[in-house]
Amino acid sequence: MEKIIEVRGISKAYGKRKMKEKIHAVRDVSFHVNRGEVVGLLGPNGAGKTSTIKMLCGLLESDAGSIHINGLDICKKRLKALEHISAVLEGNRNLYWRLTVRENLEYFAGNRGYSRKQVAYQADKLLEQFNLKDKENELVNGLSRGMQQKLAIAVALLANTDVILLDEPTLGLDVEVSYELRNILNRIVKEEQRTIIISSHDMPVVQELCDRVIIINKGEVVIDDRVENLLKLFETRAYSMKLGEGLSVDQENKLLSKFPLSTYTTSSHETIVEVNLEHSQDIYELFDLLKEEGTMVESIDRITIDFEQVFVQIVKGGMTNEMAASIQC
Amino acid sequence: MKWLHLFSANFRKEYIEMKRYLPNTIALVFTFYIIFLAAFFGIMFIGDPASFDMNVQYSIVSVVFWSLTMMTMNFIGFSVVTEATRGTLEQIYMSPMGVWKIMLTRIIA
Repeated sequence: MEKIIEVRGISKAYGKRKMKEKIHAVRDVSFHVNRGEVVGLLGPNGAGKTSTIKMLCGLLESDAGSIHINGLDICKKRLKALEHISAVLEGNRNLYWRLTVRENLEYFAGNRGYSRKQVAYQADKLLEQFNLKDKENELVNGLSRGMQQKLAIAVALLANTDVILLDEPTLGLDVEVSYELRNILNRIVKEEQRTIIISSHDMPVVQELCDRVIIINKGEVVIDDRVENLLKLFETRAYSMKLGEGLSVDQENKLLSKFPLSTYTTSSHETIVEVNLEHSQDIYELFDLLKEEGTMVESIDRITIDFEQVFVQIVKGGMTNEMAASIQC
Repeated sequence: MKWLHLFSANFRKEYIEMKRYLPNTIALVFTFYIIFLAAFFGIMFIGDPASFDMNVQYSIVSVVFWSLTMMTMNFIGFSVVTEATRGTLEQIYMSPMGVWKIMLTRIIA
């Protein structure tokens, strides 16, 4: 696959007032993004995501290393490289609040050298896609945060670039608007095959949209892998069983000795056993244990892990690419 | 052609914002007029009556140039600060046309 973004060993350190030593926000970060790929750039607060994104779009100069966008070095041929990249940084702050929705779209397109006529059709299409058509003549000032966020993304899409960087596209949005925005982005990803880099703390967005994730922690890339591989890596054989009646003391002891990671909770209206099996066949042993005293099983559900739990385990557990690869082997 | 589109977009934006911030625009024109009047009448009171006509000509030219220079310098600084506060400065820096071209077209506009 053709690499549209190539980042080689970039570093960035910031000087702190009255302190001699510098704070290293990004250390020797390398990765690439293929054309048409949707990549999530994740990490806890202060991990170096925004610095990396700002270096990618030429707003910050790296202290070391190089960034190539479509083969063009962002430091040496900045303006040429910027023809291939657009970004939404800080969401709704990227707009002129005293201009209307359409005027914002036209103004930013004009700043890239496009005429109003050239972008008229595409602007109409985007306004339809983002459900902003009936608001096109309203001032941005009067729009809700969700609508402003949608407009900021529409502005970036109107630039018609190969790569789009979205920094926290769903930050501060309510569940409904966040869901709507996720669906719109999903449709764009499928229909337009754009290369998108999303930096977000909203894990459902990342899980749904991204093909691959790059996790940065303390300024270094700790994981660079496909989302499904990471989900598989942390997949558990955990089940939740709802029982017809409580377990006897003997059964409870046996359960805890055979399955040390299991939990058993009983109340007046339900009894739940949660077990984490080491091997799939261990479930037969569990059934045997329940069968001993004729305990009825009302329902069995597999406990699935979502990407948010995977992210927390990677960041808190200090996992690296090498460790992930060795587990997969 | 890209230059033309860039100029047209910035001219339109400046015109729209001038219309929407009408009190600001009126205040700006009014201030300019007051300064001009102050300079004009100042010469009448302070200046030499023998060379009044020449003084008026010089003062008109110097007031106009002084105002234009001040406005241009103020405009660039004010524009950068406002854009940074709004959060739109980053978008301008990310334009492949280059930030100085955008600022130049705005000054002309």
